[in-house]
Amino acid sequence: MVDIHCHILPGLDDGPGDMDTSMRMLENAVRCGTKAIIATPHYYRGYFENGFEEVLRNLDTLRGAAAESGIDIELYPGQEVFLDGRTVEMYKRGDIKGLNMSRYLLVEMPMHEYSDSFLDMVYELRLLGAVPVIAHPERYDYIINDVNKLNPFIDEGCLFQINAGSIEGIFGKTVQKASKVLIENGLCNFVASDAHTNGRRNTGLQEALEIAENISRTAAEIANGNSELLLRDGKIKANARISVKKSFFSFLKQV
Amino acid sequence: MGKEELITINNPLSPVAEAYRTLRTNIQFSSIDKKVQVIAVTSSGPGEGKSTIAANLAVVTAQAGKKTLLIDCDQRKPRQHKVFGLSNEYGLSNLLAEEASFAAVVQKSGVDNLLLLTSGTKPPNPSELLASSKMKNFIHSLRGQLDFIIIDTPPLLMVTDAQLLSNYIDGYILTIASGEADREAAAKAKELLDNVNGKILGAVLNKLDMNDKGYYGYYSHYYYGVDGEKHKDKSNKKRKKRERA
Repeated sequence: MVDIHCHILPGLDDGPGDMDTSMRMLENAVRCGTKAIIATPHYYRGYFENGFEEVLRNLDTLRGAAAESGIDIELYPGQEVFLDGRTVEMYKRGDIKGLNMSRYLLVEMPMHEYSDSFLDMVYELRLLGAVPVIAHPERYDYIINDVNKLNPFIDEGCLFQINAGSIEGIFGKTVQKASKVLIENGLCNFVASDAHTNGRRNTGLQEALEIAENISRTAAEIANGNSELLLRDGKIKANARISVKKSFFSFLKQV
Repeated sequence: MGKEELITINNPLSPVAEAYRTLRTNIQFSSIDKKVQVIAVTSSGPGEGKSTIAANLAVVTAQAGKKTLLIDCDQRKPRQHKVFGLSNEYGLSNLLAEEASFAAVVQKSGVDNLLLLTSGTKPPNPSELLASSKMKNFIHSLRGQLDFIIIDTPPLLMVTDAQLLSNYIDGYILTIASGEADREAAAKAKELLDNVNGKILGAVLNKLDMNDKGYYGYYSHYYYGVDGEKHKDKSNKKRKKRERA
């Protein structure tokens, strides 16, 4: 399995604070069947500004430490970019790059507040050849309230990455239900760990993939395949528009 | 939405493209008394097709060899950058905010003789920008450089922006979607333009269903191609017809 979203690099963001923790996280990943990880520290203006060059430097160090500890896992560079008014400019400058330098750019939006300007940014990124992969949409309030809100993003060719933890239920039943709806509607292009620690948000993917398989075997297979494809910058099939009855979500609120 | 809306590029021999050329000619003939150089395309409400019409009109004007500029003045829901597949990072609003010069923000449309000025970064005060003397002077400065300037505006009944242009343009084209536009809304739109002494060059009746039996029925199925032969029309059924307002 390939994990395309993982805060594994120590000391760069709200992930592991030291190399030891990173090593434990890597060991856990190997135990759970992960063979490759794309390291994705936050690029979040004002909080964690990890440019791509810096990611590459830190990755080298991590690779060295993993080799020394005998941990057999492939490590690749990436970033998780918080979409804002400067994202396009930074992408043009090369401070921000796609996962493993592919066309696939991992982006996140605020959990609570939506703005149409995000669509504008996504449009501009597409013009530059990037394919935005939206991180954990199942955690965004405005998506939980109305999954159809993903349609404009689908129109712009966006792909969606669901967190293993969301599927497992660590963020609560509502997020878990939202993950289920996304999987059922063919909108689970990737399952990734978004691991930050060895606790709840850990590097294990296996459990989540098994749950996803039970919901939809095809979806799980596709998600797995997509992660491998992404690593090689291969072409990934675009999403089709969805139409989910809103009344479903009033049920969610009672949960 | 996107490049598929440019039927004058994608299917230039179709009856719809022909209708745009008719529109172009009609506008030329309406300028016997006063030169019609700067035209705003507007509508009463949203979704009547005015952006598509503005874009295609700009294309046929350019195709006739006129140096044309299409300006997207809809700062709230700009579309032209998507129609032509171009960036909207910089545009009219940036120019008016003096962040960039015209030369820096104007873009080649991909069609010869046609330039595009997209809306630009969404400003907090779109109406103010359009009412400003900067905008007036900017449009005035273009008259010497270009043959035709076509402006895509927001719908009249939504915001005042389209009305604000009346001071410095030569006329309006009112887009009306057949069967969709409320008769009262269209009348109200005309009233709003009359209020600012806006000259209505004419109206475009859009989305007319040519399958309806009647006068236009004959024209809908065949057209004369470049080879002089009669061809069956397989293109989409939209039609345009210019009427005096």
